[in-house]
Amino acid sequence: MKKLSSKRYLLWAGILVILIVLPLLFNTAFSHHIMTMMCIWALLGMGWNFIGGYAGQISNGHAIYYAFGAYANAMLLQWFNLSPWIAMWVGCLLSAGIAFLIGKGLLRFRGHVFAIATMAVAECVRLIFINTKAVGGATGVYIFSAKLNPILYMQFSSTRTYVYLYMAIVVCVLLFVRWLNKTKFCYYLRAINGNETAAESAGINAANYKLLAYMLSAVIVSLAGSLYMQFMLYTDPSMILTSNISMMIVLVTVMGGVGTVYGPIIGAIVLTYISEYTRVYLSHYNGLDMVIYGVLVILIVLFIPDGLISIPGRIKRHRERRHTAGKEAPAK
Amino acid sequence: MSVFLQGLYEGIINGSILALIAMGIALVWGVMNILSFSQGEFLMLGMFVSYYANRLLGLDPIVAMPLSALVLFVLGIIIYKLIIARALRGPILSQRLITFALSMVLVYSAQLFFGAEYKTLPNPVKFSGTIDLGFLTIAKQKLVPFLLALIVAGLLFWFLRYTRMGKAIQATSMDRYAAGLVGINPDRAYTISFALASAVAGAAGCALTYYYYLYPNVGATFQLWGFIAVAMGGFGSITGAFLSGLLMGIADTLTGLYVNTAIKYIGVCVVFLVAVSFRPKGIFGK
Repeated sequence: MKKLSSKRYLLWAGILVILIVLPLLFNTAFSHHIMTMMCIWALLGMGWNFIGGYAGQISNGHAIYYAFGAYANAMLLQWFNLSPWIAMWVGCLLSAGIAFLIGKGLLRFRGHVFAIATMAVAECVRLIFINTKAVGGATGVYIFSAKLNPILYMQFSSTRTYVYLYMAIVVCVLLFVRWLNKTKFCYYLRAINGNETAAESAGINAANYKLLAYMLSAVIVSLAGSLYMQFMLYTDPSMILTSNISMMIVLVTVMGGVGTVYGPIIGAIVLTYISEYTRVYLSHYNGLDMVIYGVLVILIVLFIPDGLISIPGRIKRHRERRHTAGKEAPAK
Repeated sequence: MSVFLQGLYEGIINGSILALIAMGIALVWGVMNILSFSQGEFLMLGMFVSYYANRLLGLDPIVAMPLSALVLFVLGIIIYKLIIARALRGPILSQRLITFALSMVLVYSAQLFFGAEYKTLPNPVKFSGTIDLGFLTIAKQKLVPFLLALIVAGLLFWFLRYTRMGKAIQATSMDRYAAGLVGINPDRAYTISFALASAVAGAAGCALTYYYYLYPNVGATFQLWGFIAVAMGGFGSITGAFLSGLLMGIADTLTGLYVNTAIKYIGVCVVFLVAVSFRPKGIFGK
């Protein structure tokens, strides 16, 4: 038992070293951009996973909270000169409140209807953002200013700083998710996912727990939105509030492994890698990058429906089957 | 009053396209329980078929319609056999994502081959002009989607009710396993219904080119409203989808007319959310 845990420490130390070395090794703005986007997508996936993965309520409208996080940072800076270090938590609170209202209304629906209802709400929010002059309308908001203190206002000149900061935040959220994964809360959610009626008859207040999961996922997604805003320093509704973004959030999680702790991170790494590299190398053919991206997504989801995280298990099972088959063969 | 009537009429025309899209979505939903994100892209492809038939052969969209429906029918069969049949073995969520990724592939393939710019039909259409009823002005080409919606709804209804294949599809949608036991080939029923849904969208796309511009991403909005119409109409009910598609078109146009064009879609969403809150199984659901 002791040996195992010391091995584990070694593994974690190794991962930590890799995380620190990677941005130094690939020291270009482009690779830093990819790493930052990986962190943001990992957060989006981990957030969505609570409602979509653990509780099994497939929301197709999480771009709302992504946008609320991003806009909270931008607007609080513009209106009250508030530092993003505080504004992002205000954004989280705001998202939680909105998730409470939306969740109260929508979580009664199940299956496809819930998905469609979340899409409809997200579309309404998009239209409201586009038509509200106070938040920049369709032209969006731009928050870069050379006059601001880079550390106080989270506008670093070095992309590497962003990578380290966002990695640290992802690790913190990951530790939180790991801890939560073993608590009653997540087991309740899995029970609701398995069979809501049975879970309720076992004394779980399904409506409350689903609402809580929805709010929690909104908070994490909103945090990702704030980080995105600080990295890009510019946003508009067509970048952040489209139904495509909502679907990609689902995609990241499903590709990595729905309802697992590490799945969203793996999904984020693979998906961001594919999308950024196809974008850079194939973008001179108008649209070809997205075609290839889509084909790859279809292939991965088609042939590995349980997500990339299931690959080691699959290989193991395959080997075992082969092993037993080989043993049985001579007996015949 | 005449403004209201005109608005109502335009709403019905817009609703017809939504109804056509929604019927396809409802068919796929009802039969194989997939929320098909690629339905809007079949509409887009139908529009491009109509555009090229017009540009290269000088055909009116109404003449190109059978061609478009046929092309999309074949494409539907190919897509079903290649992708959807396999996806059906996986979990529901990955089925939905596969149709989403498919829609992405179709949109960007269209962009790659046809270009991203906005297009309208290059050659003049012969079927045009207006009928003035005094209290209502009817643009002839705008009648096409409405008539098409009526015809397609009638044909689909007849097909599902009175033909062997249609009955087989209905039986499969009720219980795939039991349908297999009584000698129906469920895979064939699925193929036909998926291809039919895409053919309907293709025909709708043709009708839409009479008065709407086309570009690769045109399907996205129509698709969302199609989803909403289906959810409002009730669980994969084709009649429900048809009626609520029309209703949404009317709600959309009238909010645009009397409140504000910027928020007209919000009006539709509000109607949908209120309707589903009171009747979670849809307005026309049982």
